[in-house]
Amino acid sequence: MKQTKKIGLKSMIIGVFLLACLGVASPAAAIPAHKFMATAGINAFRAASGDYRQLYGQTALMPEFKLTCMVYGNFSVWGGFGLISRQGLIEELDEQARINQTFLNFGVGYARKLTGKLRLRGELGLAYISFKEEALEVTQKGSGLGWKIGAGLDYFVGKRLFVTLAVAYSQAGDETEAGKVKLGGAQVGAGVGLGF
Amino acid sequence: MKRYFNLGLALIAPLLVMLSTPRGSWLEYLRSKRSDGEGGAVKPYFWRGLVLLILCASVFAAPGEEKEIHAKSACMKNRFYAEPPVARAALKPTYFVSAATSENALISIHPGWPKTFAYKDLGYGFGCPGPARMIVSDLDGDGKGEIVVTPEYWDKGLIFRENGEGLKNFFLPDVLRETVSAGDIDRNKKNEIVTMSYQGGIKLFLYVFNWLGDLIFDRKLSPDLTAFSPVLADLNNDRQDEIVFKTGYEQTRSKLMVLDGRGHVISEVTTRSTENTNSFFNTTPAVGNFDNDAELEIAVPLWQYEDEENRRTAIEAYDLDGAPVPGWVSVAYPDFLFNPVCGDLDGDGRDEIIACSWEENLLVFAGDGRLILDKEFPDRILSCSPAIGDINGDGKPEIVFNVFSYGGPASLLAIDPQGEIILEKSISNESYFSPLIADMDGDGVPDIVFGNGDYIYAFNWQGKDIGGFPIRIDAKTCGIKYGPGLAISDIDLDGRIEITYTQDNADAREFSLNVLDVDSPYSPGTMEWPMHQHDAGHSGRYVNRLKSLMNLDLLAERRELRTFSILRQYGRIQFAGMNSDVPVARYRITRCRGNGDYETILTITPAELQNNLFQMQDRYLEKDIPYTYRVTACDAAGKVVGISMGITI
Repeated sequence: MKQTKKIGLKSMIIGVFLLACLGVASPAAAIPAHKFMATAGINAFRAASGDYRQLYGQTALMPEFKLTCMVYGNFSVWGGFGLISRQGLIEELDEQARINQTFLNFGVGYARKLTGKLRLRGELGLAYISFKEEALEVTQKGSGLGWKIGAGLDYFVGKRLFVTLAVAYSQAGDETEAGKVKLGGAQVGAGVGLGF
Repeated sequence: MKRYFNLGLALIAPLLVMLSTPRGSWLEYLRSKRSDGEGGAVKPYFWRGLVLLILCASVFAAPGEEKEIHAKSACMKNRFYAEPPVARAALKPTYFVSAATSENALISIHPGWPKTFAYKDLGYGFGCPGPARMIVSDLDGDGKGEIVVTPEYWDKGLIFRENGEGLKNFFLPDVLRETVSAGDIDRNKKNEIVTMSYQGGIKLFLYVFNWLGDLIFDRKLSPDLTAFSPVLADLNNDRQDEIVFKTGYEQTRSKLMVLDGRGHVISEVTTRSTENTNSFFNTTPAVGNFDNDAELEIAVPLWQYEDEENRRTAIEAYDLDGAPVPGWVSVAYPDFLFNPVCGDLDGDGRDEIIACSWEENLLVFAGDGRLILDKEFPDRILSCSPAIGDINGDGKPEIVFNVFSYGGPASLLAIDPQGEIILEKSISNESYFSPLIADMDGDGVPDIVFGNGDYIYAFNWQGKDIGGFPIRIDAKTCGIKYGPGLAISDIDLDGRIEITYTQDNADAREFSLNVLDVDSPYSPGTMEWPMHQHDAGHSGRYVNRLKSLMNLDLLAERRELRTFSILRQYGRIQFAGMNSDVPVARYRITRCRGNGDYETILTITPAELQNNLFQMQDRYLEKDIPYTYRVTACDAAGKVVGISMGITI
């Protein structure tokens, strides 16, 4: 089994680089106090399951959208939504395999200003990960509830606009005919956010 | 549904007529008639409707399906009785009904058959029903089978061609039951008929006839009180059969003789054990290779009866030259043993002897005389000879026999050489002839065939009936109590199976000889035990015929494949094509799921092989379910010319 698509690391790195350049080039301003923050980003997801990585590749691109609400002081609640869709080839039988995953996360967070433009965030929450895999003439669906921990670094390029770098790790599991499957994994990514 | 629809029409139509009176209702008519006598206008409609109702009801009540059956019967009669029998006393139709279906396209009566004959009148109102079996053998060397019939007490035997044409008769002083064998004793590629008969009721003679019914030679025998079926088998690999027979006299030692095709004595042995009772065709010798040399030996069962509690069977084994086979000097079992049969069950090159005892036990003796299996079947009676064949395609032979109990159920049993029961199948009644083992559905795996007075059964090793079977034959067995004496062959050389059997109609005091066509390929390689005592020479010896076919090397393995969340298994099948002069038209890969039937999963031509190899994946297999694969090679006519071992994964 092998992956069919090369990892889109190159484009991701370029994207992150562009965002970083944008941040550096923008005039600095003090971080305003926003009640809400919406973030859209792209992540490189590395599945915890070896079987997954063997068939669908070492990393997969995961678009993610997140909404954060500051509730008390530096404390916030947040919710996120991510998607993964991958194809693989089962070489032994020359058959295609396909998987779609959905990540729903929510939890609490803590944000701390480091400088006038830089902010560090820590997040902890629950992760609900569902999947639908089609392979070997079978469609397998499953889901699991687990946890997610993450950290982010926001750089405000304007009063409302900021770019962010984030790392996270989620873990959930499910039981199928094939046995226990690990649904989570590590992710690292970048994005843009808007405070309002 | 059609019946109910008709019923509805039959009732509704006249009721509508009745109800469609000028006043709207015949009930109104009745009411009005009762009240004021009016209603004359509706009266005709009412009576017209009533008559129509009765007519329709009577039409509906007529047995439509019964009509259909009558039509079929007429058709069957025309088909089955197009040709008149050779000899016939009372012409009555013989009913052939398949228990499985009356519209059985798989099985039909072979053209020219059946033949029906009147009982031999023995005087005093007694009659003798004729032969227990028909002996099928290629007498004239044309590849087609001829049928030899010896009705008991007649003064002649009959020879028929496959199409029912009477070929020749051969004349005997007095025909004995079940003492006819056929084989090529003079290497002329034609089979001769060897039998015994009493001249003047007291002098026992051996008779040998050619296919034209001409006497080749006869020989007076002594001792001459008891005679057993002669055995024809090629004991010394000279491509011609020797004649082996045993005769006896009360309370004396019996004599075993071996003659060549010209009547010369090869060996003559007086047995070491005495014999004081016999069953005409249940204590005949059998041949086998007990010492793994180039020649076959002869196993001789000898019955001794003292009283109900003291009976025994000695088995003595001799070489062709009459020398005792080591180990068989004093082998005996404390019960009557029926016709022993021989076969190499464990693949060590030495045949074992397998026999059923009068009561409860199935026995296996090793080639050196050791009793290696004494399998007891409590409260069962095993009064037949067993059949040997590889019924489950595992490359190893199994033992098949029938058991019964007085007033109780009867069954067919198949056991492996270790005595483990593989199959028990209920049957309606027992038979004294052995079951047969032959591939009846063309899947390359031999099936079990068995006949009794009620049915002809055919089923696979899991007990599942072959399509079209059982066939109800209603043999009304009386005199032919040992019948119906099935044999499986391809007598017309059409590549399809024929079944011969006898049928006794005691009520009409007549018997019939029957040949059925089975629309399934006849592959000699998978006909492991096609008749009683294995062959027309009654050798009683099993030789795995698959060994005479090309052996296909098959590899099969179960593989597991896992994706992220899915785990599936598949079979990886690989075999090498045949490198021989045998023309192969196609290879057929068959699969058996669990205890199910073999089903063809792929058929390919030799051109599809790459470097004479073929590989495939069988997707997907159920976990924990065993699958057995085998591949057969067939020629253009569909005959199996090569076969692999069954491999279970």
